[in-house]
Amino acid sequence: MKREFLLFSVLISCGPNTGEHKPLNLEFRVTGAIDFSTVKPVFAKYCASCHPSRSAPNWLEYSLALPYVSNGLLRQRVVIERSMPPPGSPQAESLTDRERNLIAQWINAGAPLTSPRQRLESADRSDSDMVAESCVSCHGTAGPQTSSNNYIPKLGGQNLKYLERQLHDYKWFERIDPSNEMNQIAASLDEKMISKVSEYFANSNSMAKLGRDGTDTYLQEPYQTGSRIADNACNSCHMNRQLNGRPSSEFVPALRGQSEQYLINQLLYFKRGLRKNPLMETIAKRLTREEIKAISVYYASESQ
Amino acid sequence: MTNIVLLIFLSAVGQTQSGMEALRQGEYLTRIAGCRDCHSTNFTEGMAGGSQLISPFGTFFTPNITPDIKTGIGSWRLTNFIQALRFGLSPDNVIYYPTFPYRSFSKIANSDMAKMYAYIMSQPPVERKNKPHQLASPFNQRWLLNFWQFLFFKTKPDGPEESIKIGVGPYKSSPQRSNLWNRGAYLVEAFLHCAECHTPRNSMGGLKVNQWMAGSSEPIDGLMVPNITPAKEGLADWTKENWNQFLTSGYTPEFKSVRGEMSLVLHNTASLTAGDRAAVIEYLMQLKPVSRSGE
Repeated sequence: MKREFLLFSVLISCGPNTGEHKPLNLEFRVTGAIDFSTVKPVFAKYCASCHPSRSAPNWLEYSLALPYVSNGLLRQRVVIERSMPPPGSPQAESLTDRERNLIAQWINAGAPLTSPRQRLESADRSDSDMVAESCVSCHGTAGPQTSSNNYIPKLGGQNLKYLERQLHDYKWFERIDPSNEMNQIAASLDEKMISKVSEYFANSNSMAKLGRDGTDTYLQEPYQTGSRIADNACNSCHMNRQLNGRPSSEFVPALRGQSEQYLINQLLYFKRGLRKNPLMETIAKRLTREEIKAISVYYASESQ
Repeated sequence: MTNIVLLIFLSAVGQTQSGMEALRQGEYLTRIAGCRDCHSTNFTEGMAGGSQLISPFGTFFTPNITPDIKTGIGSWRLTNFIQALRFGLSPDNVIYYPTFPYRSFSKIANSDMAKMYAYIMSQPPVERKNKPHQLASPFNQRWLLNFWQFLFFKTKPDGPEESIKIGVGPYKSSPQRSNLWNRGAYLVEAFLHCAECHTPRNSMGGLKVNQWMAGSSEPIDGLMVPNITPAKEGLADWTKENWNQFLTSGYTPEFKSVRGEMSLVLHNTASLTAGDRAAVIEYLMQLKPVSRSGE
């Protein structure tokens, strides 16, 4: 019993912090495939007894629930304020932190209806655009995708050769996604499809574009520190001045406007040797956690 | 105070170009010379020194080169700066250890040194005392460096080739070669100082002129230093595109990434303008192929 309690408290403490002021969130978020079917039972258990009401949606209908994810109300009420289910109600008492976490993770993953692999499996393999579109719901739509808390990279307008390289590395386990999701997806693509999907993202400027993410961080700390460090450590490759802020090479990713949480995670992976690139590992090992946070805020706030 | 000195100095230098332009170029030159790589311990601070260089002769600690009057080089005039880079001598005429690659920097033109000086002096001063080097006897005897300079840092080099490599004094372009090659030679030998690691040294720490850039059997941080001449066991099969990819992303043609100290050097090579990079590649691809397999 004691052991189980310990395990439970570890689980709780590992989850994302749901306090009002977002603290330095530097922990990895390792999630498996998460989709609507994962959170639907939670909604059914705790929400369905009151909703749908006149002012609130039916949470068991994906299309009706989605607007409340996009406008941030679900995150606000359930994850941050915890004002839903109403405090004091039996539902609120029995809703565990883990279940709130699950909802938060679903929101962070872009509130998908189906898991990426399911979508990919249903896509027509002869149509590369359709295959690519099954990636878009995580890697670049408006709404919850733009959350600065997001650990999934935005890919629209990213460098073509970089994208190809990453998919190739995922396919052959040179780069490992902690949830293994990307490895399995990439493994199901052949090299030809990899270049077509990469092209789709590299050329798609209308949607999924890297764009300014942070809102009020500009000219404040840690943006300023981040800008100073990036100038010494990152910008000569990732935001080259002579190239108007484009990366120095097609193999180097553009970072302006990338998701903050994604950048933090990747730098931590490099620092701990979980993502392999000796050059980046050397640099990340010289960065402290606070510096990693600062750099990530800086890039997330930069606009294209 | 620094600002006043700077203003006076800039009005002297910048007859045709504005001060900001000189500063911008100074930053560029300081960056590709890689001053920061050794003169700072992290990416946050200025070039306040303190980083360790471990060599067979002992451990060196890099000095503070921010314009702090007490602990840095804030009291230096331009002439002091030029003397240090050109001749490896401090303002008090103390000889520097050649871990400070003045063998390379000696070839920088006066005008470029002035721009670098302007940039370094424009940076915020950081107060941090220099640590003394920890060297084994007899290397802790600085007067011995007179012999080192006599042998490996020549005021009267033997021919133009040796002049480019281990001569004292600004780079002299060779008229038989193209402008591009000359620019490349100037950038590689005066600023990027590739030879400091990529050329093998003799037992006294002098560079072996006849094995220029042929790699070193002395590993740095446990990593071998490759032969970068166009020899068979060097980079003979690298094309211009391969070089370009390497200098901007750190990926070799086989998609091996650079490691160790070279990761920091990539900051400098990736900062090169496209034209300068083309020049560097031109020079490196025309190095004399040297094979060290017979050693």
